[in-house]
Amino acid sequence: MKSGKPEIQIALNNSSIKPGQKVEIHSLCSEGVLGERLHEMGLKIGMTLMILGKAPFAGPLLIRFKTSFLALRNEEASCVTVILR
Amino acid sequence: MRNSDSSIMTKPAQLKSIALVGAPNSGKTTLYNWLTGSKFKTVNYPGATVEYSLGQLAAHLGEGLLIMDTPGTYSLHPKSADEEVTLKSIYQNPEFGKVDGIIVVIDGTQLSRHLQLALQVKETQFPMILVVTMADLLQREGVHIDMDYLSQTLGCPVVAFDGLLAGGLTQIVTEAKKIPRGSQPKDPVLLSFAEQEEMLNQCDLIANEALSKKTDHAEDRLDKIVKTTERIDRILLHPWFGLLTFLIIMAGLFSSIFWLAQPFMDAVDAGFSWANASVINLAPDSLWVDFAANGVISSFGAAMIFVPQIFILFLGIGLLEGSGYLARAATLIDRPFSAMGMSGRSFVPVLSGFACAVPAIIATRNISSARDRWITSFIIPLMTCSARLPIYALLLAFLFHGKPAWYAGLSLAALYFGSVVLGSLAAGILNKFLPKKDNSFFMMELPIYRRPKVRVLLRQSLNRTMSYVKRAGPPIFIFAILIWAGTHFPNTKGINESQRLQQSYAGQMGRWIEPAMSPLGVDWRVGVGLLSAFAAREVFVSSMGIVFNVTDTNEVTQQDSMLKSMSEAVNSKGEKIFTLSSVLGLIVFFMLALQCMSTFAIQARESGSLKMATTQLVVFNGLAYVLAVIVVQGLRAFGVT
Repeated sequence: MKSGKPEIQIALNNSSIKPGQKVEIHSLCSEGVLGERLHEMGLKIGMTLMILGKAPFAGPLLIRFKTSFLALRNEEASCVTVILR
Repeated sequence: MRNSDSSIMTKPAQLKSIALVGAPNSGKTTLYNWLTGSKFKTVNYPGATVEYSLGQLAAHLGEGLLIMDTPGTYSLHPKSADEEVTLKSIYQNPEFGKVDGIIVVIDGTQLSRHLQLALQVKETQFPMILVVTMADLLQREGVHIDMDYLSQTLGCPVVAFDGLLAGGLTQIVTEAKKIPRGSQPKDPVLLSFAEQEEMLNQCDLIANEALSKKTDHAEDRLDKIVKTTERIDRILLHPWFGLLTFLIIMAGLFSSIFWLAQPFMDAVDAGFSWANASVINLAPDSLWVDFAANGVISSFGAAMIFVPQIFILFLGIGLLEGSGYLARAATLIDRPFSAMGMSGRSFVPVLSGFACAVPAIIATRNISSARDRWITSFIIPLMTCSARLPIYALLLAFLFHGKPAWYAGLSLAALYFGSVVLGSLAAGILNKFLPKKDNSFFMMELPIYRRPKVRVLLRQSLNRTMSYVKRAGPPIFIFAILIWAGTHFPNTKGINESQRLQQSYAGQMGRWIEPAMSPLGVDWRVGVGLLSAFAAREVFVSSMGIVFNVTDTNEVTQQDSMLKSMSEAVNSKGEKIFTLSSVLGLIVFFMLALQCMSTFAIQARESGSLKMATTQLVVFNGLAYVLAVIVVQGLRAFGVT
């Protein structure tokens, strides 16, 4: 609890997350190849993500973490829960 | 010479085999291009969809090493056909079994992420060298990675490599030469969720240590490297500007495929025409000479004429890939494509389909979902490939003879657009009816923008083009010979070309299928043309010239004579063959029909069975025929001749 406010965990594809926001990964889906691939791409619990925006036609979510940029589909983002920072 | 012939290469068994393994965009292919010289080949893994590049060391680097470039992979647990290739090529290589050693290529700007793969390879106990790329980029920002620390931690040699000037190259070769023959690796172990988390934390620690030992404020400096990319993406991935630039870039690529390629295609055409004429002049009446000129040379010419287009397409795609834009293009288009059961990764294959279905189908390999890949390669043959162009040109010239040129131009554009609509429709239908089995994922890494290296770009495009020629050449060649024989035998002597064709096997076959041709409003002669188009679509045009006995050999007036004979041609009942309705019917037929044996062959190979290729052949041709009949008869019912 950094600021005393309660931490709210929401899915990464939640529409309340706006471009420019920073979020912290709280959990990743632990089953199936999706979670495995998210790990392989370098995502892990506790990591800070920067939300960059969304591709046209409500397309993939664009995020940055450290020096990497990643585009995630809605379904893929939905298996990541985050804490707003 | 670039050659696929293994005879020019020293026997692989006598060489030490070293595989380059790394994530997509890690700079692996650039390193491969620096390491290898002119002796290399593309290898197909028998029975499966495996393709990778093998090359001997460049002459100035010495000899004794066989370097293998593998498709980019994030781990040793494959999740796409491409990644499968990488695993198989290092563990069960058809040329040498297990590789002797692995060079793991990691991007220095993505250290902790890419270290995962290095740790995985280390676990397998393959002899390993770690190459850290982007040394130039890092140096410019004052980032120094502690290579000694990495080497100690990983227990293997670590070399920094600069892709622009090839700094570090000789060191890599020296280390590779120290690798002993005959590796005894273990299979990669699948990690649990918690183990993966732990491994990532470990990578983070190693990366931080390696960075902070020699660099102050490493994080800020790295941030600077990626800041430009973030800024560019604000425009290129912007919901509106992004789409606009996407359209402009694609329009540019597209038009260069046609306009830039045109002079080269003309040159290829002229070269083969010249060769054809020179050979015929040797002995105009000899059957063997006719075979050499009209069978062999012309069929080669028919296949080779598309090489400039394909090269430019590969060059364009390579440029987009090397600069980092291609991943963005796929991201931009992912949503509309996924609505049709494909993915953003289907974009490049579909785009390539406008040049030629053969390389396009090969390009579907990087689609991770089997279902998406299936749908994508299924609809690719519907795209207006360049072989359809001469046919459309002829038919549109007939329809708009004497009218301003933009009539035909606009109609041609409509045909291209029509093929996109058809493709989307087909994909949509397949998407609806195919069972949804695997969960497809997209997850696209957007690499840092970079200036592509011309040398690597040219070599890669040339390599891919040669690979196309080798693959597509033989089937086109074989079918062209069959068709030549079919149109020349059994009678060969004392009659003119038109009579000979009428009496030939192809002519007999044409008459045999005439009942099927008359609903299309055409007679057996067009039937022969359609049959011959199975060798290669564009053969239709030259067959029409032969069946309608166009003897004009002057290039300038040839099309006019052709159009004249077409407009005068009547069937046995004295009715005109080429009318508005029948020509429209033919256009519809060519839009759908899969008249390309190379496509069939490649589809069968890539899908691993004849089932899909045969389904495609039957469905597309059946549909083409039925729709063409509907168009012709429908128009005629409304009084349009």
